[in-house]
Amino acid sequence: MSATLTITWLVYLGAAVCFVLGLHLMRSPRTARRGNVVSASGMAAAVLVTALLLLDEDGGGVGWHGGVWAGLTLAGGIVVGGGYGLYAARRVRMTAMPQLVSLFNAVGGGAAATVALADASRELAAGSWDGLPASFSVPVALDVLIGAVTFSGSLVAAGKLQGWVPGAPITFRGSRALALVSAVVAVAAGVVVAVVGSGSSDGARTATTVALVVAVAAALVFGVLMVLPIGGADMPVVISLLNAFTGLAVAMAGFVVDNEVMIVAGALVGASGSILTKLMADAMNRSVGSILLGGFGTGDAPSAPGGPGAGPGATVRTVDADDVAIQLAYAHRVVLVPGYGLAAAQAQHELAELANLLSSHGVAVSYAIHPVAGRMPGHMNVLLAEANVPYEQMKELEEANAELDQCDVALVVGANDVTNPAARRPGTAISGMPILDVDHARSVVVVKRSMGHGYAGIDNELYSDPRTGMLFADAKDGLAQLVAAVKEYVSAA
Amino acid sequence: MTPELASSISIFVLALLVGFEVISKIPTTLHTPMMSGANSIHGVVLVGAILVAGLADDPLGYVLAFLASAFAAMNVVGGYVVTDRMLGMFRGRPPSPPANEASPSASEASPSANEAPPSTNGASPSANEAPPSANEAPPSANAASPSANGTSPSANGTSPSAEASRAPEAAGRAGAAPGDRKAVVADSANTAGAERGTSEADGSPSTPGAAPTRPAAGPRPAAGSETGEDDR
Repeated sequence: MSATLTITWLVYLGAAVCFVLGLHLMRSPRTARRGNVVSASGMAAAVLVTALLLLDEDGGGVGWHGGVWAGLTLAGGIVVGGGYGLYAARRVRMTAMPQLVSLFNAVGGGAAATVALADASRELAAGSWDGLPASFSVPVALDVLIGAVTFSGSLVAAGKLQGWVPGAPITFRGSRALALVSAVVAVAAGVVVAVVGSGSSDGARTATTVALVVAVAAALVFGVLMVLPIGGADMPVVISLLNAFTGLAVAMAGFVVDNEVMIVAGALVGASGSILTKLMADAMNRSVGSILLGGFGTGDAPSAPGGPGAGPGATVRTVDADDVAIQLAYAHRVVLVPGYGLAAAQAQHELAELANLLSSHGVAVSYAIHPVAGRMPGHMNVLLAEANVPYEQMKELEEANAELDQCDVALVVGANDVTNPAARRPGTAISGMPILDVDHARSVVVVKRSMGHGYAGIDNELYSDPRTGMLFADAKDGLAQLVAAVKEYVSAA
Repeated sequence: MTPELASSISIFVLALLVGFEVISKIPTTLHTPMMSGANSIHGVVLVGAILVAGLADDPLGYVLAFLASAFAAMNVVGGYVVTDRMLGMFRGRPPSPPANEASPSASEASPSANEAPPSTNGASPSANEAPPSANEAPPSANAASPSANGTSPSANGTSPSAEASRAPEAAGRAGAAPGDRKAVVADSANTAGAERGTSEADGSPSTPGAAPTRPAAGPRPAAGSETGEDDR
């Protein structure tokens, strides 16, 4: 082994260790940031040492074949891509962060597919042709398929979260059939690349080229059709799944260009992403399969009717901001239950302001955070942290339920299914899902735009509970009204 | 099958197992940062983009190398920066215990430092109350500018003098001082967060009015520390 290869190998090994350590450190909030830095340093080292391989062809590196044009494309690509990534990452509002992660995931998948395409197109255009070895063509086919699906799928997912693509499930006549056809075509073309690619005739060469193009196109179409029919509430799980896919695509790209650090990192992300996907789906009481199939119209059975008194005609008690303000100001313990509506309305600062106002008035305030509150698991914690909510005030499910048992007022802002007591009974769409026991509070106030259904599409029995008052407003407006009303009350007292 | 391929496959499988193992137990709080962190790790595809750029020698190769390197660089740079931003928000918590200790001392002090009767507050109570106790800025200046910038320095101005009069435990004082300094920085920078500074300032002086009924639970959020973090 030449000196160049030895150095590269050592640095790659160190980088792989950094990735594993980084992920390990990210398991605890205390060390998470350090974990990210460790992982980033490993990445920087791996990228820099790769330049060695470009410079030293005699020592076993790949060398530099394209001259100044190739240098310009590489440098230009890194500056343009890295520059935009840096800009977007620094400027994005924390509420828009899930779609940015999805966008970064999309380009990662796109890059993996492009790497395989570039390597394969060079082989296919080479002067002499005696077939591709299976150890090359199989990973090329897999990489191109997975990478292209991830690319278009993640873009659609990001568009849904951003609102460019309607968040509701989108289906049209024959969309399911078209998705199946595109999947079959993509896989068939991939098989052609892998099988026919090994033939040494010129016909095999042409067929492989055509099949590669068809595979990319069909996989891109399938990615779009796979994500379009999935509702916005399931997007976090989908993004996490696509994240795992990208990991696998990158590992395959590692096989294509014979690079160990890509194989290790890709496999690491593929595996950890799958686990994360499963954890997220579990927290929503959904299986990954039913989310994906749900898009094809087979997963979401019509939900069971609600419990007694929860029908559409059930009476609810509406309250106005002044009533709620007095109720809150007189309470000893208030638990705030933020949900998806708060994240969508970007009302975390108003909520934090209300909480500060109340606690300065001597009310004990805490936040009950359901594992899947917000737009992604853990997203609510990030949003509240952005609004300078102390970490200790955020209670996770079990602790929150203990507090809800003793609190005077539970203020639910834009949360629906995660508070529905129907989950405790068998036979409903959300049965078995862990919920926040908001109905255990002495009284409940719900800030919500309408009586509309949550993701599960069922009535929330909490709303028709006699102890519940409904304040119909957008989360941001409603909280602003409450803040104003509490201020007025406090200053008058 | 070549030995290299065999060892690559072994590496792949073992890395999969490590991936399953390393992530199995995580608090839900960290799911989103974790996903973002994993997302940036697969930006390692930049290495592949560099390698194919080295081999590219025709126009199609250049175009693909450009696309691959741009995509990969965006993934890796953006991924790490956004993850760091997310995690940085969690990191603000450890300093908060000292800041919280400081706040009772500062705010307990402010009612005591007020000789004037506590309540009777108008729209901007802090602007009216703070200056007499602090003996610093002329009251008229604050009354004239009831903006966020006018109010919060005066509200913060209370605490140093108040501490001197009350002399609480040393830890409290040490915690309060940096908080106040930061708050002044935030105000001079005239950030949007100054609005929240106002609301804090409005909130804390209300304590004198509320204090007789609820003496135990003083104002928890530290006016100093909260405004101090706004300059981020």
